[in-house]
Amino acid sequence: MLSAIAARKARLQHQSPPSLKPSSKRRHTPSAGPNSSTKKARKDTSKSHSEQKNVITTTVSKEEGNISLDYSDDMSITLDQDATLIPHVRPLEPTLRERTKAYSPSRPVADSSDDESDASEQPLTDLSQLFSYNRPLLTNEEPQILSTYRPTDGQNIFPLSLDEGSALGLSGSAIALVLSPSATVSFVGAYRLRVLRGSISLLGTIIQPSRVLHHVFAPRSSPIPVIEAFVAHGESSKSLYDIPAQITSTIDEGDAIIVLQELRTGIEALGRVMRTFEGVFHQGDPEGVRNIPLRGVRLVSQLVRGMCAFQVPPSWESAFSASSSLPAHEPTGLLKPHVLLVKGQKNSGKSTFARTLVNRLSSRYRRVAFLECDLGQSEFTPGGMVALSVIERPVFGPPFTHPTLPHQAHYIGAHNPRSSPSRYLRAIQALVDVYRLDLQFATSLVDIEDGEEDDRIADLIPLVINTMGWTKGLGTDLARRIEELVQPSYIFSFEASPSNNVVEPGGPLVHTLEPITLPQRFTPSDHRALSLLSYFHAVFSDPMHPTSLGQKAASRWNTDLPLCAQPPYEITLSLALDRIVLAGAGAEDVVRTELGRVLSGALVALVSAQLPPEEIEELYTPGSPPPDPASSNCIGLALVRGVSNNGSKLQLLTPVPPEMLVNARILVMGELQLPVWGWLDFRSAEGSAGSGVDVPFLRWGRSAGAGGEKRRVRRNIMRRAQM
Amino acid sequence: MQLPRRVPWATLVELDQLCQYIYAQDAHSTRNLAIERLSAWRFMTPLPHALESLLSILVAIRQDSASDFGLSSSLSLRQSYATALIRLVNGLVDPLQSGTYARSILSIAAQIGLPAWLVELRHAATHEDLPSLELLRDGAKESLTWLLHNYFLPTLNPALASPSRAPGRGPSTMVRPVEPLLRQYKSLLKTVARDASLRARHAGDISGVLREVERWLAEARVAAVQLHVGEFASGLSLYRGRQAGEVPVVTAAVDNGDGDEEVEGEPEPREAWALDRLCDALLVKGALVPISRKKRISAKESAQHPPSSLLAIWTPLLGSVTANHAHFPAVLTSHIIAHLLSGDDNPTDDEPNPDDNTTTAAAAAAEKASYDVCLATWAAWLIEWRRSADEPDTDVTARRQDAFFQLAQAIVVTAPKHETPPPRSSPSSQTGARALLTALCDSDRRLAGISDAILGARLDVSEEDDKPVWCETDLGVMEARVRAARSLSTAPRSDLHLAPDFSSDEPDFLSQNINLPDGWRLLSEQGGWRPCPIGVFTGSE
Repeated sequence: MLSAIAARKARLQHQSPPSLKPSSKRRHTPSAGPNSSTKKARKDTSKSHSEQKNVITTTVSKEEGNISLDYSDDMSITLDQDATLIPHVRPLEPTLRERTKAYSPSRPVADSSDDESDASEQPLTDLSQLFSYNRPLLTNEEPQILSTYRPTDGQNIFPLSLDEGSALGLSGSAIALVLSPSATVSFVGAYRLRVLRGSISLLGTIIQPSRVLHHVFAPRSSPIPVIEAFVAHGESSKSLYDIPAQITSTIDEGDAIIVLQELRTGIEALGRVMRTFEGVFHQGDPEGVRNIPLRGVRLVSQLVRGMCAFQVPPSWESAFSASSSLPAHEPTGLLKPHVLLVKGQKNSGKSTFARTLVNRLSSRYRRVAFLECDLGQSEFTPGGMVALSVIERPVFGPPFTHPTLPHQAHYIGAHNPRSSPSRYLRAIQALVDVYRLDLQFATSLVDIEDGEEDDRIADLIPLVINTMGWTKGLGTDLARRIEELVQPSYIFSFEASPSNNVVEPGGPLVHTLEPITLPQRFTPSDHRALSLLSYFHAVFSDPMHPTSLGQKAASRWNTDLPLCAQPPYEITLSLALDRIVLAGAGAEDVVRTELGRVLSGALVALVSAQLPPEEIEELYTPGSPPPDPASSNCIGLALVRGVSNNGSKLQLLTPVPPEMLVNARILVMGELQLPVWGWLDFRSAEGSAGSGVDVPFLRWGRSAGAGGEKRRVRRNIMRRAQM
Repeated sequence: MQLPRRVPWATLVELDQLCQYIYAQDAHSTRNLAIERLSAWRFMTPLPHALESLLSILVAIRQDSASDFGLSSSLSLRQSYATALIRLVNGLVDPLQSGTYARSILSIAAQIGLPAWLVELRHAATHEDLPSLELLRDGAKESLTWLLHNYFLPTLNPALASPSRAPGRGPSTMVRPVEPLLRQYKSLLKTVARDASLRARHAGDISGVLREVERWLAEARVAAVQLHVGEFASGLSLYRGRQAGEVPVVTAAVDNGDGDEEVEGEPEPREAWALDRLCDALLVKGALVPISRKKRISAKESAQHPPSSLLAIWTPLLGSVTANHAHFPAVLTSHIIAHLLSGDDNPTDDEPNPDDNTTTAAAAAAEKASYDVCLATWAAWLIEWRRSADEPDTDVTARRQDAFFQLAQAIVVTAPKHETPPPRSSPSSQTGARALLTALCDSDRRLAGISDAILGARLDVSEEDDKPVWCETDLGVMEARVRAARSLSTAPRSDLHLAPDFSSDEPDFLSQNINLPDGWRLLSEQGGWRPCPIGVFTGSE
């Protein structure tokens, strides 16, 4: 134990920060990646796919000693405590070799079936699953340096007085950081960020000096954003504001200045709601690097176990630069909106790429439209719906940090379109029509003139489409149909297709991207559950602009109370609703008398639609189809937390702002369910709600009877003959 | 914290009702209700496999009784039956395919007690000619009965079916006995202990036996499914055991604190069952407790731990089992404590000890006391035994506490009351339990304090039998005891969360009465709504 610590310390001292400072010569172009040393390493590994696999396996087995060393060393930090809550985590995974060899009748092989196993889940033979979650993204032996910046009072860190802050248009306390060119700094936590001078890159996006306060969410559960400063020159060296005198006297010509402020939204407490993610916004820095004086933020100097840094692979970079030089006009002189489609297998970095693409575009366009076709892991909405969102500000953080009310959406009610492929396609068709009619030339959106000069393109809205990761079997067919529907002008593909880079006349331009494999510390269903819980705890009403148009993102999270203690709406069915629809396999068999039972604890979509008057009569008819996407809109999701005994009243919880509820006269229930975490009262240890009553529909402990568990599917079982 | 499972029924009463719909005497009229209920449940949440196959079977039966073959062909009916039965068997068997390679379905079915002919039926329906309607009907009937006995009854009576120890269980037919293995192990280790030079020669044999024990555990684990059924049948005797004041075994107690690989606080039931059987065998006289009374307690060393000769023999086995089943020490400790408290006769081998023929009652009591004290030393040793060199002290403390509370609770509860002193649990039969309690108190001073507060007070009360049953000061005594007990459980915990402190002073936007659409109303606690679990409706109709 002692020697392990000593060895680790020695390793830390071995790589002293200054020697890693990259030379600033190459760094004048803002398009360079965030970290030159890692970029090099990536180039080495990405020569060819098969070669990359070899590299990983060998270094991993070589690294095994290091890993176990780190493990015994870090025993006390918070990371390990939440590891106990995650059943999938085995901190010391056997190496690839051991795993294929060791067979013992008494030790069952790990089961590959997720609790929601879909056909689109990857089989166990996937190489990445054999690596434990805590391995860094790259196979570098030394911990990766995330911050070359070291705070020193009066030299590169300045707490701003309230007066200085208000001169910059800030309210509340703030601190300014001076970053020398190509310096990097990373934080874990949540903060607001403004660039005063110079430019920085953050999560693959370049931020120029502006008045915008960006909200950055950097939990440990997703790649850590690295802020990298670029040399301030030309336009970016000027500042929109007078920089306080105490700072101007100390900075050099090329230094960048950023201002950080606290960001208190209550999102940290989502870790209390779903304990799997407990403490992801906190980071105890083991080496004791000085922190910056900002609440809820922690400076991270280097990667520790369980974290990885955000990096943009080179092939992405070239795709981004191609997308940033899209011509705004057709050769004929007409305005030309662009439709950019991202496709690839699941787990290849599709969503990350799409999000970064939106961020990149939002520096050029005032609004960017985003069509989510991935029902499992949606970017802006909870899962289970196809949604068209309008984004005005870049989003910095994983999906659960920016739930947004969609412009229009259609509820499919499942994590994949397998049981309703044609409705799925109709929903996409309907949303593409909405985009073509209302959005692409920004016809239906009223500009709010807030007096700010904004030189971004306002009369053209590009569309980014994220497709689903189900690319086999029926999924292939659906993906092709989606492409035909949306007619993209650009396709960003994570798999080399036969028609790679071949430009048919009039056809889309195809960029092939290299997939990134992030360490899988959390399963897709963990992320789905967190997104859904984040949505239900989110507060969308903006007290300042209750009726503002455009992007309606969550401003804060009401995490004081668990869902079971939040006061619900009570609706009288006969007055408030026109219809209740059950959608999904087997829904036709639910009879009217069982409806109340089915709705109890159900997750439903609030849908508005124009129903022909003759159809309104019956509230529920078994087997009636969900409203047609062409004439309906899903406003949001609600949880039916209670049904009255005679079935005439429902109690609902929904984060949808009350003023939007008027048209929600149809409830659609699909296969989605509230995650078990959402049922529990996180204030009590047992999870039951205060009154001491047992929670209905939940059962503690294992099932005693045979066949008492949900059916589990294993696809990795072998026959003796296969040896 | 172990996460609960989502189940379709709000309470077990609903499941019970469903069971009656299906299995009642005049079930034909209510089975329709069962199908409707199951269809509704199926849409709410993924059903347990047993219920899902049940639904398919019921639907096929309904189709059968309604069809007159005038319009529908019997083929569709046979297909309905066949699909239902295939899916039932597959779903029951698949979870037991836990190895790398597939096992034969027949062998798994034998383990879970599924009739072999259902497996044959499945095979025929899948690969051969579709079986006849008559055979399929029989299969459906058989399946319904099987599900009643193997799913409904254990689920509706979880207490009876729980795999905790059942005294007086008959010999297990499905698992081969582990005792011969233990005897083989013991003689090997004895040889090695006597002559250390033989250690190298026997090293292979010893590890062979240890592997064999591990294999036995794996077998027992699989067989556990089958035995649940038998255990249910003998559930009455278990219930009687409970009534007599036996403390239910808490196997979950120990592992809550350590953040190692233990992801769940409780061993998986089948594993727990297997470990239980191993513990049963270890408690038999001649295993952990030697037959010779002299060998049980070492004279020289402090009497709180088993003699070193015993430790030398058994620690390799205990260590080996613990390495693969982290819960084993906890299970064994609970077993010992439960035995100490039960006042049961000593578990002996089937063949009676020749000495027993002539012993008088007093000698038997002395024998029992000696046996119990030796077991108590084992328990004390197990509690202090560190699984690894760097196991934190807090774990040991937690184990001590758990054991202490089990003991203290039982001793207080079963201490003689003036009305009816239960003869089986009189203090004299608790020599071992008290010895263990003393050992615990010796190693932890805080426990000693509580022991004085609780047990001492109990004795006081029992001495003042003639006084009124209740007086004012009793409350103070009780409070003091509660305080003493609480002082243990409130270990300081670091709270990592930033309290979102803005929401308390900001007005709640939602509670402002915004114009809600017709039929909508926002409830509030001022208006009489009370927080309650999701799924509960509070308020007026």
